[in-house]
Amino acid sequence: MKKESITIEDIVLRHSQRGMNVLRKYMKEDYCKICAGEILNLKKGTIFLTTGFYVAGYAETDGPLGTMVMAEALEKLGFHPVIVTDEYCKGFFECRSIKTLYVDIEAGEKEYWELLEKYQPVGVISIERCGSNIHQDYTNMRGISIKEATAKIDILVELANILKIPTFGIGDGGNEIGMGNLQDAIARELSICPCKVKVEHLVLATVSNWGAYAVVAYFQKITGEKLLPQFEEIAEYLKKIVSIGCVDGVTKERTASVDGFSLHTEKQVIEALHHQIIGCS
Amino acid sequence: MTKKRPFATYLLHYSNEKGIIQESLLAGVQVNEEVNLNAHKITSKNALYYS
Repeated sequence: MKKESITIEDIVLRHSQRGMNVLRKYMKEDYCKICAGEILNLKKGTIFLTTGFYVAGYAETDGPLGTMVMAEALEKLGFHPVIVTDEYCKGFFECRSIKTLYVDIEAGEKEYWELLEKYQPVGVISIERCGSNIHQDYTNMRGISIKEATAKIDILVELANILKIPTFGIGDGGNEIGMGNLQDAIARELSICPCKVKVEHLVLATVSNWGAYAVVAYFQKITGEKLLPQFEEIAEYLKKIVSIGCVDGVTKERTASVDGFSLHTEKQVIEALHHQIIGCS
Repeated sequence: MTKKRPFATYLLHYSNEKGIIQESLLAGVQVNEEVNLNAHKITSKNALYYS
């Protein structure tokens, strides 16, 4: 009997705890590959990335890692990544020399139009960024509103959709930008009020960082360029942003862990992706 | 059938900001796998996350 090979999508849905594996049936089989291919097809230019999920005075550790990996990969591929976030990610990206724009919590349509007009991005990528639900609220998985601590960067994504600028969203719970694509399925199958904001291409993962790594792994597979960092580099960056204030989204603690997963699990996932890239599934 | 969990597990999952639930738990109220709170159903797994 032929052994079925493990895909990159299989790897990033390991340890699923919040139903992303349940939602997989609503996605195309190779959704990470499709997302990677669409990004690679974009005209080279400025590309916006957004991240930063407010937890306890800072953004959580899920999001910035994937965003750093994605931004640096895009830069190597000839894009000009610009991160759009709020003050809760202050200092997370400057240490990697990635251009970062901080938007005010109160910023609205006017400010986001201005950003799009000024930078003319070729695409907008959201990685673990909370978006508005149907009640115009921004809530965490407990249903607690974080509206007062969340810049409405989902407006930027919605404006990009209107302007036909390709949009991409990576999420792991249902309340992130892009989950509007599966709004009905999330409301029906999971127990949360989903984000209503849609994107052109959605990526699901157990941890959003892993979804970003998956897309970068496909970049590497497709282009042959070395783009996915080794575990050690990612772990070092994680420790750096934790030292600034970044917290784990489960424990609320300043620890080198993501969504309660230890560095050991992070290492396993990154190594599995590297093995998959070289065809050793 | 709804699975029951030890109270201690729930107390770990629901932080102080869910004081009402904690009080109910402490009072020994039966808690199902899902707790409906402000029209947002919090499963025990969702309650692990602050994001």
